[in-house]
Amino acid sequence: MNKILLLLGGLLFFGLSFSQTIVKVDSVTGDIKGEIPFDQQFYLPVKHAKNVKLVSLRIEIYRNGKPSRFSVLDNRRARDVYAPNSTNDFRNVSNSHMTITLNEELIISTKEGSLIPIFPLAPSTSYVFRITQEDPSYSSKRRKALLDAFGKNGTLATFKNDVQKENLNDTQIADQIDTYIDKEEYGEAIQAIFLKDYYGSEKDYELIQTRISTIQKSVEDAIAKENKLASISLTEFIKNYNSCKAYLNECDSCSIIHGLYTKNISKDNLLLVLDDEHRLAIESGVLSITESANSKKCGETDYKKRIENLKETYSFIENYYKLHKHLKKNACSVDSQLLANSRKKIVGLSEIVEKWEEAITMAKAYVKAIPIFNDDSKAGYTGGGLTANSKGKFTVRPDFGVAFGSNFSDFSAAFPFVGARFNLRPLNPNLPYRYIVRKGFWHRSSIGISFTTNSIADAATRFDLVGKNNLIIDYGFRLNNAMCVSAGAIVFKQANPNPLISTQQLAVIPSLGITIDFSILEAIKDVKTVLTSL
Amino acid sequence: MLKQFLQVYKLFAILAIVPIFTSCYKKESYNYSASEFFDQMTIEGDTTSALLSNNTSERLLKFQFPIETDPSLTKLLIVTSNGKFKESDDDSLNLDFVMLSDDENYRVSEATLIASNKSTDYEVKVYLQNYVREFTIPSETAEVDSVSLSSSVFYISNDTTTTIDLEATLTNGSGLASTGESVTFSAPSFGILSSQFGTSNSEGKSKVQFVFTDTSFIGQMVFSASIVNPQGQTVTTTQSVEVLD
Repeated sequence: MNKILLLLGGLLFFGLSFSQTIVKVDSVTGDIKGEIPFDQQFYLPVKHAKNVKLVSLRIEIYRNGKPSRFSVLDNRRARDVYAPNSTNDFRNVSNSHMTITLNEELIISTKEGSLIPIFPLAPSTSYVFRITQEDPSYSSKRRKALLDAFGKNGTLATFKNDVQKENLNDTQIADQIDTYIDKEEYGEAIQAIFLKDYYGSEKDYELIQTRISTIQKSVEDAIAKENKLASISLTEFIKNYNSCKAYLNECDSCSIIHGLYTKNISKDNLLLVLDDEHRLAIESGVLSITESANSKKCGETDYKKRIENLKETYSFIENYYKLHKHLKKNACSVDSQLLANSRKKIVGLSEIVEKWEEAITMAKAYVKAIPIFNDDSKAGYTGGGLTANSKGKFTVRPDFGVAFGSNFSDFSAAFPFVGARFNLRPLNPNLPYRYIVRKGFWHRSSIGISFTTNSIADAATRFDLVGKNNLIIDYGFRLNNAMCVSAGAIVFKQANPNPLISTQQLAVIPSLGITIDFSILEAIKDVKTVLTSL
Repeated sequence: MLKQFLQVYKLFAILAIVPIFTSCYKKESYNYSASEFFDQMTIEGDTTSALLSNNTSERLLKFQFPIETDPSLTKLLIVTSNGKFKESDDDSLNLDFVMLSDDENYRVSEATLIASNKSTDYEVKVYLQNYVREFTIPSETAEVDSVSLSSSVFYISNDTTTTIDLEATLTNGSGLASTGESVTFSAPSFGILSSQFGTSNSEGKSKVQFVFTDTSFIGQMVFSASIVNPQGQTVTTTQSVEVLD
């Protein structure tokens, strides 16, 4: 009954998941090949199909083959394991799959091409990355409005000219702002506010600031609902930065700080960081924003250097934020939305740096707690069922199947067989195979030793090896948790081709087959259950 | 992936050892020709030089198979068209290969062919399972080099109803002369021979009969038989019979 319920649950789960798109994880930080290091943070490049609108990314972590919701208990357990002063022994925890201490339910909002930070991995954790097309709480219209406010309808430098053509007076603009706010068309509202602010009187300034605060709060609340770790694309950020810079350069009141503005970051550098490659490098900490002109990249595994780069980038954005606070006080407040963006970016980067430091501390504590790994170890796999204790060991599972043997000339036959399959990497049968990410060649490889259940003998030239059974030795390439395609040899006995010698000798013919794993113990248990229930 | 695949070659190298120590099954390997049987059999002994057909000459033939062959699969039946085998005293012989050669590399069995006095070649057929192999030992005619003569009686009354059987035995050394060797008989003038000339039969003998034509003779009469030996000399032997009244 439990199995039936589990099956129905699985069908229901897959049915509900039908509208979701599996994210393709093609690399780690875009460059790393091979196993995901468990003691380092990495970034997940998120890609999705063309014309598929991306709203939010959901990361589900599977433990023992079941989705983990990251309850408080889970977080405590993971934290206990990672904590340096913990008295818990990770190796004695029965449910020893370590988890990632991400906030709440790990709903991370992202945009196309952005990176999701993933924190130190436990060796046995498997991840499923999904992009949902559902809009949780934040309407896409709001996001579009924000984007439209910057760039989509032209730069801010030309925006005022566009509005001037409509010959709107202050009252009309104020009414328009109210209308936009009522309709939650914040992008239009912001544009109108900018225009009002630019041409308005001093007495309206406080009202405008209040309205801006209201808009910002609404937007931030909406974003917060959608995603606690909402971030802004650095490309968009730099793009706005340049737009604002161009606008400010036309503003006489800002000329006094022009030198400060360009002190640390040259125009060339900013142009360079607009490049996707540089943007990715900066966001992953491989490249500092102030060094982007020279492209002095650090290694992917040099996490200390990457933290320094992120701190430097963080410092840059912080300075930029301070700069615009200064600009705001000097009545150059056209970049209020940019300020909001900057603030969020700073928050995001701060969290990243904070998580990195925490992650490193946790990872080092983890390494010390488990003696089989040293500081230099890069062990750790996202293959399901692979644990620290089982790394490098075979797992053996019984299987059965059918092999087609032929000598490619005058003999061929099909042979049902039963045997054992030695997987070259540990395999957790409870975990759906497609949920095991980064499956390598060895995860799929196995060696099978089986016996045929039918005879090959013709009583003249061919004879069975043992009784009416013959041996099959094969290499198996795993298709999923249960099935392998195999290629190998059927070993049996043949009469000596010398007509004057009556002894028999071993003979082989090549074979191709398909095998299905099964659990003998489970099968016996089921049979026993059936028999005892009679 | 490529690197991992290259590492797998070790695995396949191990698997490849299996066929090396065994062999890939081919059903056609079990379709045999006679040569696949008899190429493994060797015959030691002179099968090319001629055997003197004097009814006593012998030729030792030694058959052998490699030591790994199964004795139950190498049972031979050999049959000769002329002469006989000493072991069976017959023209056929069954051979079992239970004896090893001195170097223990072969299973051996021997057969001794005894010549007859027929001057035809010795065609020896070797039967192995369902296959047969044949070889021929040439025959050498045993030419007569001596003759002896005997009669059926040593006295007789002179009577035209009485006959005397004369038998000439033609020999070659210690054996018999081959069949068809010539002998010339002669008898007294008061009687006649059934034939003056004769040839040796399978027993090396030639027989004639004598009857009286004149019944008045009493006394000793002498018969003779003559042959021409290989050297061209005439060899004559006689036999006396007393005629009583």
